[in-house]
Amino acid sequence: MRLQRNKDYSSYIVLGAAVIFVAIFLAYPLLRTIITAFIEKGNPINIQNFTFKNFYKFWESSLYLRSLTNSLYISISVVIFTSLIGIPMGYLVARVDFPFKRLLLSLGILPIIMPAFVGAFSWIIVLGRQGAIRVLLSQIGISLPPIYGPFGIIFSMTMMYYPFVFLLTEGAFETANPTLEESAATMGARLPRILRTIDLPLILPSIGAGTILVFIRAIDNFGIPAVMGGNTYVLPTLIYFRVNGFWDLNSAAAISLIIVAITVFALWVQKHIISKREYETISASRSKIKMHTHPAVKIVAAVYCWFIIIVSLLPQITLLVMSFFTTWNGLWPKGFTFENYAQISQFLSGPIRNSIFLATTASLGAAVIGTLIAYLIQRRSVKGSAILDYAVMLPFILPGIVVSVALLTAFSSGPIVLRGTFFILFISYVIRRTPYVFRSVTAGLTQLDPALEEASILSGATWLYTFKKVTFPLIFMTIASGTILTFATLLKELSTTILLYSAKTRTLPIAIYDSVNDGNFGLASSLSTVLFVVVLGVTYAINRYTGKSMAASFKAG
Amino acid sequence: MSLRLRYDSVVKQFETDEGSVLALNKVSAEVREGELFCLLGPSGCGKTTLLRSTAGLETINDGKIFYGDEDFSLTPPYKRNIGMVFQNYALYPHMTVFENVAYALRIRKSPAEEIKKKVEEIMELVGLPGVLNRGPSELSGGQQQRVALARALVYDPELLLLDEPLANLDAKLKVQMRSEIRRIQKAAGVTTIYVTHDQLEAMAISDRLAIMDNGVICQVGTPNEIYSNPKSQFIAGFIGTMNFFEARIRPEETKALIDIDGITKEVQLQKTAEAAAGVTVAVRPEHVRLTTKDSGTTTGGGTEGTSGGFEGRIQILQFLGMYIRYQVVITIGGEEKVIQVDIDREYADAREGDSVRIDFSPEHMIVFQHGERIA
Repeated sequence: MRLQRNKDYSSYIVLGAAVIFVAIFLAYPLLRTIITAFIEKGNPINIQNFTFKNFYKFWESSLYLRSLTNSLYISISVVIFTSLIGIPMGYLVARVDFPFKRLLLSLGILPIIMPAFVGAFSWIIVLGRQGAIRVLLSQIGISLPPIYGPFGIIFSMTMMYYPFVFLLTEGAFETANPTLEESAATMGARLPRILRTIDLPLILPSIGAGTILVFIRAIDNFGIPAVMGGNTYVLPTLIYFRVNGFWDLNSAAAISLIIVAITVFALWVQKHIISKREYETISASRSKIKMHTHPAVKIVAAVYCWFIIIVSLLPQITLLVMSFFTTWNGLWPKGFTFENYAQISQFLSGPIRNSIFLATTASLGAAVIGTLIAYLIQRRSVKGSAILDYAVMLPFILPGIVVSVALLTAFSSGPIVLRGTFFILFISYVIRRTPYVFRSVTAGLTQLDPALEEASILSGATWLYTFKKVTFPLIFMTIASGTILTFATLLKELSTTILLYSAKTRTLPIAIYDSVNDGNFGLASSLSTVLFVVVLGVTYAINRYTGKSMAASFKAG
Repeated sequence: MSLRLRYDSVVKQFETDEGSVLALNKVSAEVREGELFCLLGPSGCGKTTLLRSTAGLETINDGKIFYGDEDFSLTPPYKRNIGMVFQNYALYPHMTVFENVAYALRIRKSPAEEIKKKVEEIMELVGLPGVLNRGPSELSGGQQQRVALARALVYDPELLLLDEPLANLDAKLKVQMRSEIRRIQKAAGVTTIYVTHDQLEAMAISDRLAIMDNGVICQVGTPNEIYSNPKSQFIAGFIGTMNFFEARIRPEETKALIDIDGITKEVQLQKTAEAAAGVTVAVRPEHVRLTTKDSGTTTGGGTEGTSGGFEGRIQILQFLGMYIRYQVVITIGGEEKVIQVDIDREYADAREGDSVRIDFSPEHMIVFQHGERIA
């Protein structure tokens, strides 16, 4: 055999293309956003125009200041309330023996699957001025604060996000080594002391992980404050207001930087203070966790947990009911009809088709980019792979609306103009969702012994052949599950789309959002029900396929 | 025997967070056609790096690797036509045994009948016919090992590389598989490099072996050469069991007097020695004589008188089959020291707790100064 000395360039071409994509559509827009934040509206980008004016508005304008304080106040309140609800619930489900716990755990996922703004408008239906529950409560003398404003936002977010705290806490209590508690008990500690000195320190990292997910979602969320904010602005709705009303990308960029700074600070707190000490569980022989079996405890636990679950599932029930009626003011809905479902046909060729098209192409795009970058970082010790890692993971903490501000900043003028195209939505979806595929493929690759690929190369295979025959088939499961989950989450995407869509690229969530704003709750409900059922079905299918619990796949996203 | 593989001042550096690490420091060695050549050394000595550089899985920073007359230092791995067996076998879990073994033949676009024939032949050679349609996970560790060997050999590679192939097998299977590997290697007639940290394995299996330490090859030779004539104190301690004594030296021309705590021996010098520096004397356990003090009988390596040597006491006795190993506590320079003594079973009548005298002849002493052999 003649030994030749030409290198195999296929890997450089393929992996290089992925890096270039990340550079053009993620790194460049973000850099451009940072620069834009320091330039006043209308001025060209150059060094003389550098200014802090966009940030001064947080002092000068009461709207900016109120948005900032609202964002902080709402997010922190949501963290506190989700913890108050979720931590006890996690403990009770893990440690008290009561019926239908598996069902309860599965139902616990539903609030998270629901698109946020859909949840908000269902709460408006039952808790609005004429809402059934408000009417019911006022009859027994309880009056609630108005749903439009901070109360509604905090309430909706809490009922939507508490499962993150609940499920992570439950998991931690369930996997905690029972012998630790037993040994404390043999030394004479009673339950409160055991909880305080043994369990709490051990599950604190899990609580930290759960609450940070809640905090990021609460501060990033656009849909809920947009639907029920009224004149209560938060930072994401302020961005929307600046861009949609004034085409002021400079202020939007500055507000975006503030949100990112808050998020980074929260992550820092979580990582270095709350979850500072992760404990390795040393498990030799696992004895079974001792469950509380006292009837009174069981009744309290069952009533508490089922009450929370049922309340948090009211939006789903409301939607389903509302979708068959024309109006629902007062206790009972009126005007039973199938018209809401009949009208869906008008959306098939427009928003529904657009959503399916975009979610499909973008989840495949995210799969390709995420897989290639994960491969590059895991298998090639290239210089700057740490930077690449951070860059790809960055959108994980970027609010959706910030991604759209970045893309508008970069591609509304200049050499590449993408405003109003399907392509800019495709890019925004890929950028936002790549971290999820990237993480799942990275996990898959770290479990895949590089020797398998080396053996193939030594057998005479090129890089491309090895990737096709060995690497790809072995990580296919992780790619597929990440991709399908991405597809499901993209179907309900609102916060990025809201600034990027045009008449011809309207998606299903935009159509629902518009129906809500038009007051057409019946149509919004039927569309939402269809969307919810599809997302739930896809999520359920992928979990059956991969054998993971529903909860596991939603810890990340 | 013709030369097959030659390393010429091979240098490999790894960049880590704490700076660069020199994994191979100008390694030069030659491997002959058809031989089984072991790279033996403690972990981190560079043996696996040398193997992976041979395969092209690591790119060397300097030096050359010749294959026959051809320099293939820069040839990409997939063009080197090398077979390799990995420590954990690296069998493709998503393919059957047949597909695993046929993988390289398919890359070479061999016709289907030929692939079938070659796979069956090689599975016959490795002693595992009839499992072609199973998945790798359905096989035992030893069977996976055979499949990995078959996969590496089926395309007649010019070189076979084995990276700690027995590390994951239990003790009994290890001994069995090491003769199997040698049988298969000889039957295939393929030049083979075998990496291991297990000196018993290396001594048992190789035609020749190279001892590596700290990124350099310390000594190359047959197992017998290395056991009998270790070039350095490191090798003497690494291969087999060895007793070491600190001593002083008085060199005179070609000879020298060695003084171990007052007991003197005369040895022939191979190199010039420094009078000022101390030396280390090494003696194999089978070369130590043991005399029981009270009975006066002599056992082991010779029949000298009951005087001379060191007084000691048998602390522990280990029955090792052919021979018995005594651990004798002696006092040298005011400190207690344990000496290993191996005695043929039929002569070994000393018991634990017995007071004994041990000694050895000058021709069995290997003397090191500054780690290098001088006598």
